[in-house]
Amino acid sequence: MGKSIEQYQKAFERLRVTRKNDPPWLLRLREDAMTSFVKKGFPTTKEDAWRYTDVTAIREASFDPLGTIPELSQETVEALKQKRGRNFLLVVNGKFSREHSSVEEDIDVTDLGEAVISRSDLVEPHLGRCVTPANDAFSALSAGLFKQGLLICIPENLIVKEPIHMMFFAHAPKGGGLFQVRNLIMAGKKSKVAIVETYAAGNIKTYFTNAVTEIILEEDAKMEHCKIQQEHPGAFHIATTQVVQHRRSSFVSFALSTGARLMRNDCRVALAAEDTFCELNGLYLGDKDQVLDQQTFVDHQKPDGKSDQFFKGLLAGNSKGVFHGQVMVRQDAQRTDAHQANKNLLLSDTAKIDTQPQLEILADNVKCSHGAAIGQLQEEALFYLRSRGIDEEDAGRMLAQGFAREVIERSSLGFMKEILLELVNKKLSQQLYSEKE
Amino acid sequence: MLEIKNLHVSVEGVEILKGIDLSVKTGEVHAIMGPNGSGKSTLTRVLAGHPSYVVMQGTAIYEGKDLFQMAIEERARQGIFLAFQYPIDIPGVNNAYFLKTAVNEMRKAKGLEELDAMEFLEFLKEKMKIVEMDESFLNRPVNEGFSGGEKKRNEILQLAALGPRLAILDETDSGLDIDALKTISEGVNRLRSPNRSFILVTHYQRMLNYITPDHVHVLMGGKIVMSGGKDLAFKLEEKGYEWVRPD
Repeated sequence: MGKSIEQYQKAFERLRVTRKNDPPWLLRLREDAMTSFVKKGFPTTKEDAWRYTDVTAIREASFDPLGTIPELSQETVEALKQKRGRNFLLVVNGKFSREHSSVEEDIDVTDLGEAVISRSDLVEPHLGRCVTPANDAFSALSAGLFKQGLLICIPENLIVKEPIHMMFFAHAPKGGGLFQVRNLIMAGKKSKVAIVETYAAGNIKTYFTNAVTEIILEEDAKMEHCKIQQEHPGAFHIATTQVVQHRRSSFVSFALSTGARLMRNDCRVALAAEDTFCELNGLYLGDKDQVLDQQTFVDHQKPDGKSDQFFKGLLAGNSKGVFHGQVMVRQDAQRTDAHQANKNLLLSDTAKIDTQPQLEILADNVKCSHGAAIGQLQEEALFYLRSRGIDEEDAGRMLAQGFAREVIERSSLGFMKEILLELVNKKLSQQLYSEKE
Repeated sequence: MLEIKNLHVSVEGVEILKGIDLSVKTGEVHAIMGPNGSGKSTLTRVLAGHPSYVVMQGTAIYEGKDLFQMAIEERARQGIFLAFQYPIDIPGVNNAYFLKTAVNEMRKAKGLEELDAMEFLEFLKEKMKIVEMDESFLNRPVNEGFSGGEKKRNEILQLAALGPRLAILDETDSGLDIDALKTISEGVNRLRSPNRSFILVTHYQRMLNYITPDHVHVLMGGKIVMSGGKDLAFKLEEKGYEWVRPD
């Protein structure tokens, strides 16, 4: 069975005792999840969905599933809060820190561990139903073992003035662990909100963030969403975000991934009603031995839905990128307008990318396109810049920046543009510097 | 200022230049004409330092220095500029940002202070008048969506902004209509100076109606087979390249 599965099973036994007050529906969900997890274990590369992403290192590591939460110094907290405005939610090692967080009055924020009990009726229809334990072993592990998390409810008609900054911070001076991040975000009818999720680390060497975020957008709700993954280079980051969109809702998102030793970021959108819109843009930048796996799945279930996906990768060193972008257009989804593109730039001879766009169309009146490309810095472009006196390194940087910039410029998330450009430039410097070594 | 002796150059294993001798003095305008495939572009690209072109034999001494020992960017900083025949698109790189970076590299090489954004814009506006380009070209990615004529104008704008001592124009006239040709030629003429030399590579004679060369050379089969004054260009126009072909 493997040492780590046993370990998670033991953790589950302990959890059952401490969480006796979980409602019956949750207890059943957890049982099913753990049974499924123990039976299947972590995925291997023999499974189609994990063909290019080897999680052996996670399987063989022994992460303490119920990791300890250390105290953060005031300085650290201040640094994390900097430039993140009035709506700031701090989550340390998966646990919501209410004392260091604050939001505008009308936004309803509760610890999910409490909410499953105190607001069971509100939570039951959604938790574990958007991202079901059957999704994969990591979702199962999350459903089985999560103890806490965040429930955020945006009331009907509320227009949230400042973006909600969620900081998921990993910190463990005595050694890492398994940090379960669990978010359930519900945007009420006609509400409007922007959310920024940042994953970063303090004093810690290796850890495993297992994140599940379920987002429900009611009719006419509009959400802007930005996910910045800048975990520690020794970390594992497996994240699934599932959005369920109701009529006339809109979801505009950008995912920037630069950290972690192994990452899978699975962004899934169910366009579950008519007239919905989703825009998914993203960038993954890798160097050294990073493995960055970006998955998307947009499911057009009803008519007149519009989706637009554009992801770019820049891979240096020995890093590996994986992209799998799926679009499903169901039989009922007439007049679907769905587009998807993936472009990759390899900055070294040993960087790799596996890209797979996938389009499955069952309706007959649709407009769809998809494409993928892989390239290297164009020699002619480098020559042109150098022939104007720009040295080789700067020329390479200009071209790589230009490549990354395109997807940031096209994103509708104007408010994040400068920050994203800055983070990308920082990572590019590291990538190009490591090329020289 | 440029002394080329017995230059043999190959690309992808094929010898294109088979012994070029050329001497360009400061302030002179040399025209190099020849049929397609004669090696005209090869000459310009090997002088600029394109990595695909291999010098098999021969030397090029630029202002007393061995040109082929200098890196591409070094040649540019020492005052060599190549206006490309087919300038490449560089999507994602803003034209103004590119020009400012190049201008500041040149200034650094000369020991001058770099220009900030405001100063650079003022500086560039003056230069843009020379080639009759309007400001809308500054905010676009380098050459992306530019017509053929606009790309050539962008090349001459760079020439004006960087102030090279040796300007090499590779078939700048190709693909231009008569008005564009006039404008660009006028721009080049305004940039002539006793301290600046030009090598104009051209297939057709018509650009030489507007830019009067001091010397005309005919390049055929990788060698300069004939040299003369500006009248040579007219003779070629009249009689064609066949007239020159050695027996």
